[in-house]
Amino acid sequence: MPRLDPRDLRLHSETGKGVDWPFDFETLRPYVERVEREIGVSGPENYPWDPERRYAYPPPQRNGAANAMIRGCDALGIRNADGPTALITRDWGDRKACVGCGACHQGCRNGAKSGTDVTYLPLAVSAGAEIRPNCFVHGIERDSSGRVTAVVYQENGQDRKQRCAALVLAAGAVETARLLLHTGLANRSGQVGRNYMAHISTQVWGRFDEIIRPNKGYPSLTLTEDMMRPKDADFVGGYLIQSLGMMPLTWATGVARGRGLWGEALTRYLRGYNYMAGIGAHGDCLPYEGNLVTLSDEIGRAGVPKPKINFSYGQNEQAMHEHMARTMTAIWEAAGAKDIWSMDRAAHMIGTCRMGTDPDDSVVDPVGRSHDIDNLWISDHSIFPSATAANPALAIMALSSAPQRQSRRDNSRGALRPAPAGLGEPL
Amino acid sequence: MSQSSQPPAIEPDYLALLDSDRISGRTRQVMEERAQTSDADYKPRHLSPTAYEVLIALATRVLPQSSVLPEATINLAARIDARLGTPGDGWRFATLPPDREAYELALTGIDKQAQHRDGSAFKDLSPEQQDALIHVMADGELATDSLDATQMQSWFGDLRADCVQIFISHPAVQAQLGIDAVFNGGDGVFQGFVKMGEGVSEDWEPAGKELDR
Repeated sequence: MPRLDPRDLRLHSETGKGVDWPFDFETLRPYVERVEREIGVSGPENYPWDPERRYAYPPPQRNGAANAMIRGCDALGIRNADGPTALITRDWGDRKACVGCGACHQGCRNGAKSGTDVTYLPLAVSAGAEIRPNCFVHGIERDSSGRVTAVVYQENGQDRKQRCAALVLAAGAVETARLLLHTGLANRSGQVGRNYMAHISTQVWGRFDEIIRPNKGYPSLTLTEDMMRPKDADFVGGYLIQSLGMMPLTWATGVARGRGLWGEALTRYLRGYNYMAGIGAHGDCLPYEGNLVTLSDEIGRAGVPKPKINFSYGQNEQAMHEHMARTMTAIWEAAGAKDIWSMDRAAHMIGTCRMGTDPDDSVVDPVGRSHDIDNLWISDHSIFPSATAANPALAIMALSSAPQRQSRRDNSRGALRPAPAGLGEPL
Repeated sequence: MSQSSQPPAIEPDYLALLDSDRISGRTRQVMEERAQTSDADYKPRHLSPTAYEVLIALATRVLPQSSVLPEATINLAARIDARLGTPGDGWRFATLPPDREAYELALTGIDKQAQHRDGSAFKDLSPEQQDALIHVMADGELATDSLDATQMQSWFGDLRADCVQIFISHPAVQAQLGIDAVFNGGDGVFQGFVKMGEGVSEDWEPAGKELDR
């Protein structure tokens, strides 16, 4: 759970490319620190790129890939550390310490992973919220002044209506845009669905002589921020590198799609699963005219057209991908890996309802409220003006605090309940 | 689960782990379902008989299994056909029709190309002829009546992904490869992994057969 790099929020000021965020990192920092405190994040005692930063929990145990990355980075003089990780390494209330089962990407079974299922959702329920699973919103009703009065959703094939004083959308960069495009709302700027971005998330894999068992332990512990602005970069922005473990099915899918093997060569390679370790990057991505989410001409659930995502790399992304592949291949060679190959991939859906101060050029204002409809909020990664290099989860949660702050100041509209008191300090 | 599994057989040591307290009841049930599925005498429910025949021949070339499962193989074509009746993972190439339709068009298209180029149905070609045609498809140069060469190349990526997912998630294969991902903790005690790192194993971990790497 790395933090946003302050430079990534000012990419346009720094390089003339992309767009700046409407505030700097210092504005967001209290919310970031509050989220880290409330959900429980582990990290190293000394974080090389931010010496003053402190984490409440020590890092989990290093697995094979984490050790290999340390060895490779050390050999090349690349600083590295146990990365910040959204899990707890000591019991905390009903939540148990991480046991290194390795299934973080599939789902945590003992509450060690600081997901919303064990943090903000139980808190919301205790504050009176009701969770209605398996419901699909496909309509938004408004009064004569244009304010939202209700949502229409489908449950078990039946349409139902829920009246509301305010509506907060948090369906992600594809589904939030899909619903707004379908209903035609909040799009006076014409920006809904535009500026779709992803993280440039190149992976490099290699085979090691000693058994690794890449399913064991927290998958991506070792981290370096040394490539956030590499000296020899032929691109703007930067990227993080993390070690990579992976469950067999996910790994085999990457091999089949990304390495293009088939026949005996494919079977032979799959047999080596227990000896494989990976290293992966997440890098910034610029918005482009042609990268966007639109409605397709195929009808999907509840009559809402299926979304269509157009996304391809520009010159900046291609150059960054090549730099990542070169750097991580060098690290893996230095770590002693054999049969090294790189996989071109993008991850995390970002953009499509960007925030900004100019209603002609953005969908929501700097606290996430629609420029067009004053009781409609968006609280997910669709509002990010730029991709940044960090995993979006921490920033999504930090930004979600902002609307609450605004609504307390703005009681006249009676939009939202006051912010909950929070989960309190870790024990 | 040892009493009920269908071929391919699961190694006894691995079966013992599947019955141990290191796996949750829910995961054991999933593994059991994968092992119990009978591949014999499967009749296609979503693909036409012609397309299904091509798929059987194609899957044999795309992911040969004998070096891992010498006795009996997993019927990849049967399990792909069954998969085509489910919603899938929600993703597909924007340039391809829905999965079932894409499979039908691609497979019958390959058969027509085989007839056109080599004068025979795909399933009756020699393995060398089949591989030659697959190479053309993999290189993005096999256009068919309904799907162009780029669409066929994208579809071939989907086919490879379906094949490896079915293969590597089967308990008989995980036993042969010594994969212990499902033994990461039981319902009573959630053990996780205590020992990890390069060259480090816990006493109970399956060795996997000595496979040349």
